[in-house]
Amino acid sequence: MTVRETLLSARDLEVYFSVGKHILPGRRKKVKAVNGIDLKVYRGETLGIVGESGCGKSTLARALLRLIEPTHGELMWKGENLRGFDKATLARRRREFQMVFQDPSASLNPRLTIAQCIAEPLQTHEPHLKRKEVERRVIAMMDKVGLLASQRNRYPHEFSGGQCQRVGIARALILNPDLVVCDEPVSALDVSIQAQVINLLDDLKQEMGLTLVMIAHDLSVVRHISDRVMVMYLGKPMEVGRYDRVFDHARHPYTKALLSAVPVADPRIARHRKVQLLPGDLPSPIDPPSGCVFRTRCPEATELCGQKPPARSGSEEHRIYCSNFEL
Amino acid sequence: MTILSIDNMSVRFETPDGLVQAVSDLSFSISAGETLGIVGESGSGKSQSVYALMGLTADNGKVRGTASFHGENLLNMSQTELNRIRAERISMIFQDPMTSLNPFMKIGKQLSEVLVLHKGMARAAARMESIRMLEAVRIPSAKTRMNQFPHELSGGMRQRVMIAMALLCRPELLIADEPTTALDVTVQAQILALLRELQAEFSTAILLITHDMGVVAEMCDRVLVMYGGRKMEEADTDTLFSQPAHPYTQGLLKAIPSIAEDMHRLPTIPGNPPSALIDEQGCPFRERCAHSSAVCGQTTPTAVSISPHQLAVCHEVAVTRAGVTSSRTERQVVQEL
Amino acid sequence: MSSKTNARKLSEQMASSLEAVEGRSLWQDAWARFRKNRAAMTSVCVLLVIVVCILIGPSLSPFGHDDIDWNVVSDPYELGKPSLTSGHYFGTDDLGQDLYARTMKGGRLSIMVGFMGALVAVVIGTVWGSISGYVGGVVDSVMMRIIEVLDSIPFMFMVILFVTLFGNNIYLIFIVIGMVSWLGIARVVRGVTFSIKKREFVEAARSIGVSRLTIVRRHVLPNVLGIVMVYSSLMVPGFILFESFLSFLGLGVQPPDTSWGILIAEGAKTIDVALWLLLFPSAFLVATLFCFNFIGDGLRDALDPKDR
Repeated sequence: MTVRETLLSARDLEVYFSVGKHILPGRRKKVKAVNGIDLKVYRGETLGIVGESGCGKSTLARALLRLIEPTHGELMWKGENLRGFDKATLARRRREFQMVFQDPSASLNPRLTIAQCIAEPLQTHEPHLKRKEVERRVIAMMDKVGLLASQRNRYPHEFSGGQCQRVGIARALILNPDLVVCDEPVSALDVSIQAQVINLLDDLKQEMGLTLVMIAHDLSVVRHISDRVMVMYLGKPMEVGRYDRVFDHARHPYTKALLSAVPVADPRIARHRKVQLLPGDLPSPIDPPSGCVFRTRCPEATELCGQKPPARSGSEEHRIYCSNFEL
Repeated sequence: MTILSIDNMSVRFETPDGLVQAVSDLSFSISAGETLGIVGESGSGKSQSVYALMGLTADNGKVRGTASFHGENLLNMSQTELNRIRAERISMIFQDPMTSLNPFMKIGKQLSEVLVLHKGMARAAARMESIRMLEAVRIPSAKTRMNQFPHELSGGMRQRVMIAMALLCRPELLIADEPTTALDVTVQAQILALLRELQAEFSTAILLITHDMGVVAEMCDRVLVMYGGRKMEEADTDTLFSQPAHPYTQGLLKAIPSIAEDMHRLPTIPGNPPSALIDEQGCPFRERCAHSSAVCGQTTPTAVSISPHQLAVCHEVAVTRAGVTSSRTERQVVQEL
Repeated sequence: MSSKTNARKLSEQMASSLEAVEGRSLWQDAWARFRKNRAAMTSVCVLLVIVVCILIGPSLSPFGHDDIDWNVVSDPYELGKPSLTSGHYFGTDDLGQDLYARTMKGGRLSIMVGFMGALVAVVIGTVWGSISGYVGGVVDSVMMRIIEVLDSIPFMFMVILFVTLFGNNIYLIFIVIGMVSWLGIARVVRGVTFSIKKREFVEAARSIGVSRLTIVRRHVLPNVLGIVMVYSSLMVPGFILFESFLSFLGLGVQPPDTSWGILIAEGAKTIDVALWLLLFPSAFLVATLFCFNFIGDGLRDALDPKDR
């Protein structure tokens, strides 16, 4: 494997939110949304992050871009310390990393035309541009994402969900960013539209040399679009690796349970497959279980799992965080 | 034995923007103990069609057609008659359990209230029965749960309580409107497994509304595919997945990425879903259909039977099947199904 | 077939890039809905008629509002009855002053007071609420505590204090009252701003790197404006009514100036002998209040169709 450029890396990233009303901020209860994540995003790849609701994946996405300030850990962007950027630098550098949001119609201001929505990054980062030039680039971008330029003066409420998501993608890409973080970009869309948007992201990635981080709860979508995958549970990584390693040779009990639970759109397979049902509910992120956070629902848990953090094994290509299994 | 059969049901709404045809000429039936899935994307009319059955259509909506449940037409019943049937013989569970659970009432009270009201049970007996039902839906420590409020439960637990409540009166038909859409996959797997077990135990017929083909494949005996308020295809589950006849069903099945194998590029259905203000003429899918021709815009297609287990509503299918079609009518096919 | 559709698409795009379809903004949608609301549209017309009357009405009368018609003074309740021939269209009061002129004059003051009070309250309330809501944190806490402190001062006490301090200038009084009654609207705006701040499009703007001020100006305020419009259209009648109430108590406008409130107070005294003195000013006041309330309701329905 050739040496690839690391675009973004995180070490021991933590995001804690204070809840409760204790007078001393230090004594307030903490929601440990992201609780020690290491990851690297290489230029040109797609990193998928999967997990169920409440696992902290959306918080992680925002923390990676400093839309939410991490409470602890290191963030490196192109070899520079991202957490060290001051406000002005951060605002200026935001053009290099953009985000696509989950709810396509909610992420567009209903009072602006879609041309105004798409032009906003240009006006923010290149205010000197003439109106004609902005319009030209907006039209070019709309064309790229499959929107008719004649629709540019329409408003988001006049569009379907799929079209709104195309607007959101156009807005994220108009500055030619290096990295685009997509937070559940297709989960609000219907199946037939979902496939269109996935293909569009794939095409644009090739065409513009993008690097993608895809947050999703739909495992099939993640498998389809990712080069590498990280499986999260309760703010911690469970299994990380190349998509085919994680999906076809899953070793972590949580990944296995997750994969077995996905319904298969084929009745002949569906009838014979065995679902690994997980007992109980997701523990509270305010007071996560000691040791391995998954142990309370893990079919393989032993006493040891509660005493020390899970062992890390494997390599960059496939790594699991579990004391009972080793790679 | 057919317990519910719907004939030419239409639902339309008067909105400030014009007339919205949510469901057009829908016919289907469901037999005792079977699971019928209705699949479709948002705006396909799948939810509105069952809301109409349950008398839950919004005030600006008009329902036409017949829905006969053991020979009684649900669509022109008085509110009191409907209430009786709704509580005792047909029950419904929703996507968001919080919409149908009272947040200010303990779980136990809400459950036993149903039995006291509809079965005339004594309080103590109703309470016992409720606990038994909570145990039947695999809620651990059911007795303590009886004294909790809905917000104290997780999403999966709430959906279980909803199912318990729906099954309390042992209904003949359970209508489940996207029961697992708001849940995570691992919880979804639990709920689907539970529904299957309960169906075997209580032999309830289930009408399952969903957009997820995976859920259909796991749960249903027969499937009805809807698009733009109309039925596109109806078949038993195996046939639908192995030999989909309608271009829409074909496209829909191909567009789903697989969890188990690599696909290079997802085949898509081009275009966008139709506006709700559709015209009455023609096939609603024609603008996105690869096989559409002039006739698709001129006349609304009628159902063509392909085999005893499958019928499609499509001009293209009708043309290719012309040579082989027998003289069976749609009604006969529906009855055979 | 596909190449043909591609070619058609392409030519469509070429043509379309020159000519863009105009969309319908939410404002246009709301205006269309408002126009369909008959009660609201009628109210707008009636209100316009009243305003025109008030503006040009006084010049149509031969009498000024404080001129005394000595011809009727001898027996005002008999000679001062409303009549077209005498030129006293609405009759006169017991001093022989023309009621028509006084009603028009009083209307000017009442409506002006309503608008000015509402304007002051809305401007301060919107600015205060949106800053408090958007900045949040400690700033929000401090700003909201200030509102609570102001809110705990008895309102009538303040008003009576102002009346004694600025007694002879009614406009000043109402500006001051406006300044104390922005509390409600500030709270409302803060709440709405708070919820808009959490919407994804604001987060999207942040992720682009848009500055705070631009976010407030471009993304937050336009979305708050609808609520502000509804709220202020309901505030105007509140102020008009409040002025009438004060004047009725004798705390508001002082003679020879007049307002609908004073006229109604005077009319109420002679209700058994000269009903017209009560009837005409109250009719105008009631019509105006009804109109504003209908317009407010219409605006609410038009701007927030989900609520219906």
